[in-house]
Amino acid sequence: MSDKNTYQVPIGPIHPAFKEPFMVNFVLDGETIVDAEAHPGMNHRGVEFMGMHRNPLKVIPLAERICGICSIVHQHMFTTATEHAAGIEPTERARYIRTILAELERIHSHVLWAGVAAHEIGFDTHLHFTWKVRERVMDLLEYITGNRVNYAMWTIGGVNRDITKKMYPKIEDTLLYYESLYGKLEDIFLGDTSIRLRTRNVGILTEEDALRLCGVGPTVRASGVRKDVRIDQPYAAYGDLDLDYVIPSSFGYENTGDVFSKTLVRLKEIPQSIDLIRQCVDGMPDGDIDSEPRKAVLINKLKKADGEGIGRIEAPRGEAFHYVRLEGGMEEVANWKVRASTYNNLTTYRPMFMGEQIADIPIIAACIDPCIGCMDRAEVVDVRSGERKHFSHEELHRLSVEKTKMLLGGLP
Amino acid sequence: MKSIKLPMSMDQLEAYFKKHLGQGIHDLRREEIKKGIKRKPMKLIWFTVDRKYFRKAVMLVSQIHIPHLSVTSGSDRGDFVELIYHFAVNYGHPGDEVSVNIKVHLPKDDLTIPTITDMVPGAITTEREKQEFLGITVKGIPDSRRLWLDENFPRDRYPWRWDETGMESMSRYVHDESEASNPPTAKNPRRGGDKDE
Amino acid sequence: MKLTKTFDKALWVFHVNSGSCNGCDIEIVAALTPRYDVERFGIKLVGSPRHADVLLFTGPVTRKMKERVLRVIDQTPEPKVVMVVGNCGSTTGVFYDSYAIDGPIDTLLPPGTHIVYVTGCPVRPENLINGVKEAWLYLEKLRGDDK
Repeated sequence: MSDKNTYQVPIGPIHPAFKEPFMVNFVLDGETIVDAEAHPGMNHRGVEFMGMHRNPLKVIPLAERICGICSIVHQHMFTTATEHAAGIEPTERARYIRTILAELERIHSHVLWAGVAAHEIGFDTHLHFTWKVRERVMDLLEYITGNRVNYAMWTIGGVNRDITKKMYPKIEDTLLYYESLYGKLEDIFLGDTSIRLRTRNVGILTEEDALRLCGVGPTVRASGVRKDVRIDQPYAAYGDLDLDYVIPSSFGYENTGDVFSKTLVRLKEIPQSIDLIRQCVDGMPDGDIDSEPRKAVLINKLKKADGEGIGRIEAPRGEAFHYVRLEGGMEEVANWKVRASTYNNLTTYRPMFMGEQIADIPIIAACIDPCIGCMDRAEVVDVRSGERKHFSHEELHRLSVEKTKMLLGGLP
Repeated sequence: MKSIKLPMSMDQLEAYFKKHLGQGIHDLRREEIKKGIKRKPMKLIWFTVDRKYFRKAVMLVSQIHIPHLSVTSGSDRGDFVELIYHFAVNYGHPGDEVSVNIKVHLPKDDLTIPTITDMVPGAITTEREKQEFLGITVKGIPDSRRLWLDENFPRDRYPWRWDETGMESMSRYVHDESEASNPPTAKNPRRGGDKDE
Repeated sequence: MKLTKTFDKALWVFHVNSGSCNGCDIEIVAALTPRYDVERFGIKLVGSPRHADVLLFTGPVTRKMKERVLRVIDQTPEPKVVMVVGNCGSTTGVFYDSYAIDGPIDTLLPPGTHIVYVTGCPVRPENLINGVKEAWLYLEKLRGDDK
């Protein structure tokens, strides 16, 4: 690294594949990372504070906008927690509709992640390919809910819109499309030599570290940890469905916990989601979609309610958690704690980065599927010279792409 | 106590905590919420421990297996600050996972709690967050720097407090300033809700 | 300011997330990828504000990001157009009563900056393309006579 590389790009997400501002500090010994520390908070909007000034029905749109990729996750958790606190039961049909939507979101999120991961190691063709195929599930979500991203489907006690019989053929069409496509995705991400070279034995998280650091989701399942809220503590309709932990050893791979395993777990969850949606469509019970359609009555009921509840959901990125407390006679939510999956996975960065190279930073940073975006800027301290250097994301990306080229050039 | 057979049932868990915490445990509450057509239950245990028993309670959880701390939630309840440590016990056993929610009450004149990062290394994020959002001092925390708030943020203001150290004077109402002027009242220290009520 | 003929080119945009929820950001990427493919109109996302003609701002401007947002505006050469993407960029949207928000963006911009608002929560990719077109129409009016 010569000094002419030490420029600074002052603001966050330079490439849009990275969404949000975020920073990781690295300590380097030459090319090798000896320490890494994440600095979040650029995106702190005070959502919990705002939620504690609004009534529960007004919090739902706010919860939806905590994150635009997992908007279903936060509204799902908030409504579940509030229903728990107020003792309201959602209708059975609503539980099934919620499950279908949550699984559709898992498909779109994992396909999106695959594209971002491919971009990080320099395969922009794959980025464009995955984003092209992702549009199909976005179309279906738009068809069911009326919007591409923030769906406004959840309400306390049920959902706002129904999934009717008329919609089943279109759902099945989309599922068939992804089924036929799945082999190709697997070929690209699991079979391709150059991708294997960049992902095998990179960013390893051991099973013990994964457990001790309270990691969640595909990040830790890749290390062989059996943690999946959908199975451990079923919510929505998952208790009625048949599903198993997706860990690499179930598919004849080793539970290595490297980037390859994480890719594998995410890809294998796509056919699982397809299967779960089919089970839901087949077993969808009749009945109302909303246990209390009169909103004024509902608000009154929530005002009188006194209690506390939790909402735990297996988001595409792992377990997420909401805690809600309601106080009798108080219009607003008395206490609200939001905990997204990345919050727990942040601590897993350190063991994953240790001993890796600068060129591997982008793919390791992406491998937990960080919801608070990416590194906008990585500050690097060289322990030999004690010199501080700043790398822009572009530069890191360039290094990453060069490494792929170098590895490919070295092939026989 | 070395060989605990997993998964632990709700009865076993209740007996386990009651036996080892003695008079330090209060208001133990069990919940089973049945969900779906098959009525599979979601199991929860809530209890309050005295502060001096708190580390022991966490140690009891960590003796079952490597503890999974979902998060710590905290709220200002007037005279005291309530912290709830949400643990998940029996993960990896389909349908048997129990949420163990350990509450600790900290009086406003002594907002300190011992760290649990030696038993649960993953708790560091949430402990740092509690320090900056509730003004709690976590004794023995390995890293006490700020996490989410910027360095210019006032040191004596805490976003989740409802007393004079809260955020009422700092928050702004973008759309119409007059709507923000509902004064805090003694009964409800928060701004008086929404206009259309 | 008059533009020279050398400006007769396609627009380059730089994207700044000032604390948005990702919804708009993901739609911006969607607009770049094959379904919408804005690059066929010559609209290109660049890696530095110094190369940009149009700044895309998403999000309600958090406290930590305010200074950085102002710096990016400073670094972008004139003539420029600021595109405020999404409802929370335009009005702070649902984040209207927080202590951590310094926005909306248009209150922080230097006077005289040309702003294009793209509404939607999140914006639709079609609307985004329309917004860039509006920016282009504005810049076209600045064209000089030295043809």
